[in-house]
Amino acid sequence: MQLTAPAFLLIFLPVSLLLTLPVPKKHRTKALAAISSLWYVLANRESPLGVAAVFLLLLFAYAMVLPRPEQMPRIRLFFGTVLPLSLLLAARLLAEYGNAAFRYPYGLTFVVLAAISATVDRVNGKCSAPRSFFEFAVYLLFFPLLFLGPLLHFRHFQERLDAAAPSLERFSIGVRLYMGGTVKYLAISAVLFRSLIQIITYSEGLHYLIALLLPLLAFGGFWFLLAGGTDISRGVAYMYGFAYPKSHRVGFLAREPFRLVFGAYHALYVYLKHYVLEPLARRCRGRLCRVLSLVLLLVLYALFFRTRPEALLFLLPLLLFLLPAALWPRLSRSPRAPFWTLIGVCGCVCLSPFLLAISIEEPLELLGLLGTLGDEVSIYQFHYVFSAVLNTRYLLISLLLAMIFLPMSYYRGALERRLRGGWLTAFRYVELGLLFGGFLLTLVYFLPQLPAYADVPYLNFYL
Amino acid sequence: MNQKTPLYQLLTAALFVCLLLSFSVTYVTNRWLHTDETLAEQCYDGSVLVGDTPVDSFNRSYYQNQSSLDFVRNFEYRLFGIVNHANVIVGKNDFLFQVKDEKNDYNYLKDYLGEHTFTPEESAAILGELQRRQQSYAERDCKYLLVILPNAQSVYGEYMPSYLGEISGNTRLAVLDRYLQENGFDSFINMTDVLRDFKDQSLPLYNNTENSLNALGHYYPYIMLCASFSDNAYDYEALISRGSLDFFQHYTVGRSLAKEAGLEQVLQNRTVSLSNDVRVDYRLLFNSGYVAKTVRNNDYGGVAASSVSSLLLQFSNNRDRLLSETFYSNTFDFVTYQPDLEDNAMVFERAEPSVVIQFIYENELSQLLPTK
Repeated sequence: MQLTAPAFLLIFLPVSLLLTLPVPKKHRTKALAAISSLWYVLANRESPLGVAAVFLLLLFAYAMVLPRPEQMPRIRLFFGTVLPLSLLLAARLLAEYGNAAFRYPYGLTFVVLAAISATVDRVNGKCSAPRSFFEFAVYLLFFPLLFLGPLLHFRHFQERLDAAAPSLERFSIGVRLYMGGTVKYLAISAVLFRSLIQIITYSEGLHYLIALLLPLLAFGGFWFLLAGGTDISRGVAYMYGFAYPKSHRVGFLAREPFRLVFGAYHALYVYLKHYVLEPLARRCRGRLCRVLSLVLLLVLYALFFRTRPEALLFLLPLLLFLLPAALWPRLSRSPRAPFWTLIGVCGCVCLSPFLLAISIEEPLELLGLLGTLGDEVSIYQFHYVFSAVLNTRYLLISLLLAMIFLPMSYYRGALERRLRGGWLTAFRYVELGLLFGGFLLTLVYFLPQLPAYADVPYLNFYL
Repeated sequence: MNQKTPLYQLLTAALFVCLLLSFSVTYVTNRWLHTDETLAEQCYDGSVLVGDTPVDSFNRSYYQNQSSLDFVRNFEYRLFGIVNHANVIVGKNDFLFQVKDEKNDYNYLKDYLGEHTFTPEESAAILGELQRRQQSYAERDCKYLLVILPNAQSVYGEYMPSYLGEISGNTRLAVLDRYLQENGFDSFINMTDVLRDFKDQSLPLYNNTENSLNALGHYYPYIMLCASFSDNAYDYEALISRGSLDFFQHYTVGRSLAKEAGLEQVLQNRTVSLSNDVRVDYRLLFNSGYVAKTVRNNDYGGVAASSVSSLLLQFSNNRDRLLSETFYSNTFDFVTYQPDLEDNAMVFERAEPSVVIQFIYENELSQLLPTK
């Protein structure tokens, strides 16, 4: 029961809001813990063992963070990271390579990362002990955060929990984020991914034109998957009164265009930077270390989405592209405007083979497909594939919308800065109307078509 | 984030809550009413939701909601001209064409483009099989004739998507036709040119949502067949002229291709039928449910004077037989109808035919290959 599932939107969300919003602040943590646990059980009703494992992990992680920092730090650090990671790795590998009957417990990745974060911060004295078991349960299981949510440090979560205050303003912010996120997630990303999978399925060889289209579809699909997913996550959290930071940032485009690709899911980048790269940088310096950090970052970023080591092969273009910036850091800082766009675009292009590979069930099949490039493929096949893909016109419309959406934040911000008074008000209401229109269209037209995308995790991303 | 006015925030919240409530009430009501008529057999993507938990049940009432799916398909078809099915191509003028016929191992699309022809070995095997059938019937003092009915795409190529271009000159049927003629086999009639020549702009010859001839479509093969018989094979005056027939078009629920694509309620079939006032100068001699035989009445109401016209007509399906019966039974003295192409000794004995005519569609030509 993902946050885009109709059962969540039409039943769980209204009921849970009704049950938690009126609760007094001192008991709200308990209510949130109960609702989050219920959601987790419903979302993983086909994986009772997974649910049991996650609740055991919750108890284990609580036991790790309760003691003072100076008590058994190394043991707690070791077990507090290795055991959860082992559980995650085992579940991921079983899901990828094991029996199709195995049901990966949804949200396990975020639970594990949160548990590790809490343990490490507690041992290092960077956060206090949880004030109650329910508070810790909310930190690990608060369901909006299990859907491409921000990966918060426990202390930051505590601050946000204290500051959480349901209000009309936050609810309306949450509604707008949720609606916009749903449109991006379903109406754009899911359609692009569906088209990509259908093109690959029905192609009897790779035409040059299709070869150009596929990376575009893969990148566009991923970009809006992450943008939409993070917006949905923040939106639902806002509805409950929590103001979480953005996890999807394109600000890198201007400041550090080489890192644009990491801005797609900024929260993960910050997490890995804090817990992996910075400790590594403290132990070694110099170019070798920077290269090692880059490789580690790319590998962990890649494995976060799919635990398929063979897919890392397709990261080579991106690695080679980012290597100069790692070796000569001056290259990556504040280039001139035309160049940062070019660099950003190149980075996206270099990432596309990897995105394409992980979109396919067996990533290495992409090599076989590439091998058929131009292999006596008749031009009709291009059109036939479009016909078989069934999405010709609105594939083009989706791509067009995607291209409009990409710089949408920029244009929106520019318009809001320039407009004043009545024009600004009118702009906001028009924007609201369009947002509701898009959301309604998504609910009645796109959502019924996409049970495989709205109700279960995307493709093979076991998050 | 810029501050928004309280009115704006209230409007946002209120609209959202109203939207959710309206959807919730609709779908929860559907779920609790539990009316199976509102549920489609499958979701839009062909999957079926299983499970009996309340969540599964609610999901079914949403994703398999017939009205919702009809709306989506109607919207897609009308606005974008697409259907959500890998086996159905949307053509012009509300025509649907099939992509693959799994049962006969036939690919319509590839054949249209000339990439699905019979190999020389297969052509030779078909020729051998047809000669065998001809010989088999000749030994029983009976002639054999194969009538090949083209696919809708072969006659209405202009309704195929324009990006596919014109139909290839090397389709299976075209190649087989040339091969049979070159090898001196003339006991067959390819109806492609006949149907193309007699395409009527106002009334189609084919069902637009199924690869099958309608009543008007079956008339022209009948005329062509009659023209190929000798003068004393039937009573010339019994020949039914086009002018004496009244066809009318009406709209019915979409047929097999529309059903396959989930469009049967969206895309109606333009069904062309024979009017009820056509003369019926024959009666059933027997109808066993599998095979039926008719006899034509003479001018005095009795059985017609004996002549050589006793036909055994074999169709690959019963629907074509029913559409053709009026024409053949009104013209030929004795006509036996068999709903398959088997050489059935019992049927042959009861039919006592002077000619056996097998009707086969272009996509079924692989049935002529001898079984191994």
